[in-house]
Amino acid sequence: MKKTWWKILTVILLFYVVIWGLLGPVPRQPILNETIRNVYFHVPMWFSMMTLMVTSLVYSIKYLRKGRINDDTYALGFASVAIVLGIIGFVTGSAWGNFTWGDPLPRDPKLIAVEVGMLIYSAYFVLRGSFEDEQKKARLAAVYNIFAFATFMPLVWILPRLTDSLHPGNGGNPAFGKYDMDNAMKIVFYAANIGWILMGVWVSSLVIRIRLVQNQLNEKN
Amino acid sequence: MTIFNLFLNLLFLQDVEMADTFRSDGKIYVVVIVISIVLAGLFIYLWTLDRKISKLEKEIKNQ
Repeated sequence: MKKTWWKILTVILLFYVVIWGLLGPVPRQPILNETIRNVYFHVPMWFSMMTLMVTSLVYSIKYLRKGRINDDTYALGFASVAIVLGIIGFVTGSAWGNFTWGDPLPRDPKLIAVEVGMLIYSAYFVLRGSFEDEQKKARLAAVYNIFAFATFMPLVWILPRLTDSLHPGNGGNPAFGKYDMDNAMKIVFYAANIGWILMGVWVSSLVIRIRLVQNQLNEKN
Repeated sequence: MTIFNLFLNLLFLQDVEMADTFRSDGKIYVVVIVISIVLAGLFIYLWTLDRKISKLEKEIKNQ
């Protein structure tokens, strides 16, 4: 195992988040009550997903420029783990919303945007499955990945702000300050984001390495 | 009067119901321990997977 320090950092950060996320002090707020602690687990899923999507995009562009098949494998690995994190984020969100908004799937612009975005991303995997030729598959997938990214980000970040959303930090032009967190919570929140992003990178690195081994085996046979 | 009180409560965020008794019982630590065990199990699994893949990579290189 090369470079283990960041994996150890992931373990430490996530243990800190789970333990201090449950025991640490949080602001007392009506409706939210103790569920505000979900901010340490639901929100980082999305941040982790976004990070992996950006990384996937970078490798897709890299593939288009240099034409190395390994870059396409990287893009695929990051994108697939990103989608898994997105699904977890969606399910955790509807569990949380069921108790605070009174509906697991309210007609919220942010939810609809994410649903559309996830469908666009799932077409990326369908597209990959429909080609036999390696290079052709990789090239079209890379181009589609850029398109998917360029549609997903405005859908999730800009569109909900143009209307009004149940999500805090939407509608108008707010920053992080709208998340109802105090300073004690922010420390755990940042640790949670870094920890879950690293966790996403770790899992995708495993997925990518297995695929690289598979590629090498296919070449030899 | 009660509506006024409710309004005051909302205004100053005083009587917001939290899991205080649950916490004062001390049993919250049991939950933290259980979740930590689950997390530890997941990490150990990830770690061994990581090492197995490293071994595979080495084997392929030496072939």
